[in-house]
Amino acid sequence: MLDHFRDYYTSLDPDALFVPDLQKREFGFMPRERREMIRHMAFRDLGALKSYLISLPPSHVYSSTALYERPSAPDMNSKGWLGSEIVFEFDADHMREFKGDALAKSGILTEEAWNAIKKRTVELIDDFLIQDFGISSSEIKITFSGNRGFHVRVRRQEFLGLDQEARRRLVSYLNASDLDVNGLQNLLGKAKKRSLEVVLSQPGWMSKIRRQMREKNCSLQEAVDALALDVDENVALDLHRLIRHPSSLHAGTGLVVKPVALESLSSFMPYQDALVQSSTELRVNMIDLLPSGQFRVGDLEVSKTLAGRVIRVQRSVGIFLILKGLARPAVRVP
Amino acid sequence: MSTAEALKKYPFLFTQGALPAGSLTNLGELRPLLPKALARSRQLLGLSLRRGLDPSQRKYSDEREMAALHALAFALVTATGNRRMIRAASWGFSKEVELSLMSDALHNPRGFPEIYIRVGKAAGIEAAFNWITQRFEMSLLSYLVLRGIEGDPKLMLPQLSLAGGKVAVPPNVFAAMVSRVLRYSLTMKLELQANELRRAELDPDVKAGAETLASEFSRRKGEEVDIQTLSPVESLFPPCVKFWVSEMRRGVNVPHQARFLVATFLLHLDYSVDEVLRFFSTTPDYDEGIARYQVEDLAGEKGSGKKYAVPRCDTLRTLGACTCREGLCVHMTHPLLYYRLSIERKLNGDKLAGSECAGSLSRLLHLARPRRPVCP
Ligand code: SF4
Repeated sequence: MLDHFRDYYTSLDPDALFVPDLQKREFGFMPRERREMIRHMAFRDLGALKSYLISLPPSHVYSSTALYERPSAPDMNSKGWLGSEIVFEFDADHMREFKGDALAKSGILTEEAWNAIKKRTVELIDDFLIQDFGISSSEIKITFSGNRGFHVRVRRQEFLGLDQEARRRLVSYLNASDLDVNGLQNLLGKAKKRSLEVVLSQPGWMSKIRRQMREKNCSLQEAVDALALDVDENVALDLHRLIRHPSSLHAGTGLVVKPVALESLSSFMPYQDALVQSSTELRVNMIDLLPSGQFRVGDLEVSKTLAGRVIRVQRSVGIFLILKGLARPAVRVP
Repeated sequence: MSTAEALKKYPFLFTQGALPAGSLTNLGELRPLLPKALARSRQLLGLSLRRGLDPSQRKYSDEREMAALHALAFALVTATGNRRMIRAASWGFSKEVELSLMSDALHNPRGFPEIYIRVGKAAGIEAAFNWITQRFEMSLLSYLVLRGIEGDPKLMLPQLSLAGGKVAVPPNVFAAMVSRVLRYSLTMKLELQANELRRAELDPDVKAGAETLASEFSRRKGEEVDIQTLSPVESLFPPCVKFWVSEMRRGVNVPHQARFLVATFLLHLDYSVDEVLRFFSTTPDYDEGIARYQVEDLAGEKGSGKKYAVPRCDTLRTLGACTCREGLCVHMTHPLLYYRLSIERKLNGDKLAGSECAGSLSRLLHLARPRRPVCP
C-alpha cells in the first residue's frame, strides 16, 4: 500500500494538483497510522504540496472549499474567511436508486449504477446549474470522489460570498424541498388538464414538471420525485468544508480523485479511468463469499466465479479488491 | 396620484431606519410628535381599530418630519423591550406596505413599476420591470441574498420563473417579497436597538409612552394579534437551540435538559407560552395539557411563580446539551450572549454570523420529504 501511494505521488505531475487560489486554502491530511486528522496546513505552491505528499504519504488528502486570508491559522475564527466555492456531492450513499442494492451496500457500483450517477450529475449540470442558475460550463469542475460518486464544484466569483441561507435555497431548489407540491396539486386540480400549459409554462421547475408529466405520463408527485436531485446538503451548506483534493488518492479504494471534463463525463468509468497505472502486479486471494452481481475493475471481470481463487492482477486492481474486502494479499507458500 | 405623492406612503424611503438610541434618552425637537407617534405605534401593533397608513400623514408636507414620526413610533415599541411587540409592529408595518403596493398596482397601472422598484430598492431588492412579460426581474444572486422570505411558499425559488440566472416574479409576488424582507430587516434592527436600550436611561416621555403601549398590548394578548410564528432571527439562535429545535421538528424524543434549554431560551426572548408550545407540538410524547403547565411554570406564570433562567453553557456542556465547539462557541458562556453577539455580527454584515456547527444543522429548516417511487 505504502509503495502504491508513494510511487503515485512521486510520479505525479504537480500541475495535476492544481486548484485556483491554492495559497488561500486550508489543507487537511489523514496520516496512515493515525485516526486524527492533521488540519490547518497551507502551501505556497504545488511543488511544496507534492513534496509533502511524498514525504508522508497520507491516506487521505483534503483541501478547503473555502478561501482564507490565513488558511493555516489554528482556529476558524482567526482564518479570515474570504468565501467558499459551492460543492454539490453526488454519492451512491445518498441516492434513492441504490437503497437495497446488495453490491452498492458492499461499496461497489456496477456499470449500470455508475451510469445512473453520471446521468444525475449531467442533469444537475445541464438542467439546473447551466439552464436555471445561468452558471457557465467553465465555472463548473467535476471530480470523481475516489469512491462512490462525484463532486461538482461551482466557482463563480459573486457566489463565493454566499452565506448558508443562500446556499440552502440553491440546495432546496435542486432537491425540490421548497417546491409546494400540495399548492401546485390544488392549482392543477382547479385548472383541469387544459390549463396545464398555463400553470406550468414558466421556466424553472414548472416547465421541468410539465415535460416530465408529458413524457412519462405520470402524476405530479411522481414527476417531482423523478426530477429532484439527491445532493448532499451537509456538503453544499458547509462554508468550511474540507473535500478530497483533486488528483490525490483515496485510501478506501486506492483510486485517484480524478478531475473529469464535462464532455467526457458520460464515457468516464471510475474503475478503469481512476486506477493508477503501473506495471507492477500483485497476487491476491479472492474471498469465498463474493457479493452477488458482476462488475469490472481494470481488466478484471469480478463475479462469483472468482470466489476463493488466487489471481495475479495489476497492483492498483489488487489494492482496490483488498480495500473493498473482496480479496486478501496472497501468501506465498514456501 | 403622482408617483412622488405615492412614494410618501413609504416613509422608510426617507430615513435610514430606526432612530439612533441617543434620541430616545432626550427627545428634544421630536417631543411634539410624540402623541401622533403613539397613535401610529398602536396602529402598527394592531391595537387601534384603524389599520393601514394613517390618512393624516398626507398633511405632512415635510417628508423628513413624516419619516421622524414613523421612526419614533417604532422607537416607542422598541423602548418596551418586548420582542413580541417588536415582531408584531414589524409584521403590522410590512403588511401595510404590501397592501399599499397592491393598491398602487390597481390605481396606478402606468406608474406602479417605478414605485415598486424604488420601494424594493429601499428594502434591499434590486429589480427591474419587464413591460412585455409584466414581471419584475432580478438576478439569481439578488434573490439569494434576500432575507426573511422563508415560510412563504410562493416566494420560494421553485415556484418562481427561473432561467439563465434570472428570477422573474409577477407584481403581487414582488409586493409580498418586499413586505417579507422589510419585516425581517426591521425586526433585526429593532431587536438590536432593544438590546442597547436596556442599558439606557430613557426620556421620561418615551418611558411613559412605552409603558402605556406595553400595558395595552398585554391586555390584548391572547386576542388575535396576527404575528409571524417564528422570529426571522431564528437562524441566529445558538447552535444548541437550533439543533434541539430541529430534532423536535423531526419528531425525535429529545432529553429533558434540551427541552428545558429550548423553553427557557424562547421565553427569555419574549415568545409567548403558545408560541413555545408550537415548538414542542411535534415531539412524540406531546400532551398539550402537561406541556402547557410545564411551560407556564418555566415562564413564572404557574407553580413557584419564578421565571427560570436559561442554563449557562458550562452547565449545558456537563449535561450533554451543548452541541458545538467551534467559532463563537469555543469560549461561549451563555446561549443568550451567543444570540446577542450573532445579531450584532449579522448587522455588521458578517455572513458567518450564526453559522457555527451548521453542517450538522443543515436540515434545520427542511425535513426530508417522504419519497414516492420514481417515475416509470
Ligand atoms: S457553547 Fe453554549 S451556545 Fe454554543 S452550543 Fe454550546 S451551549 Fe450552546
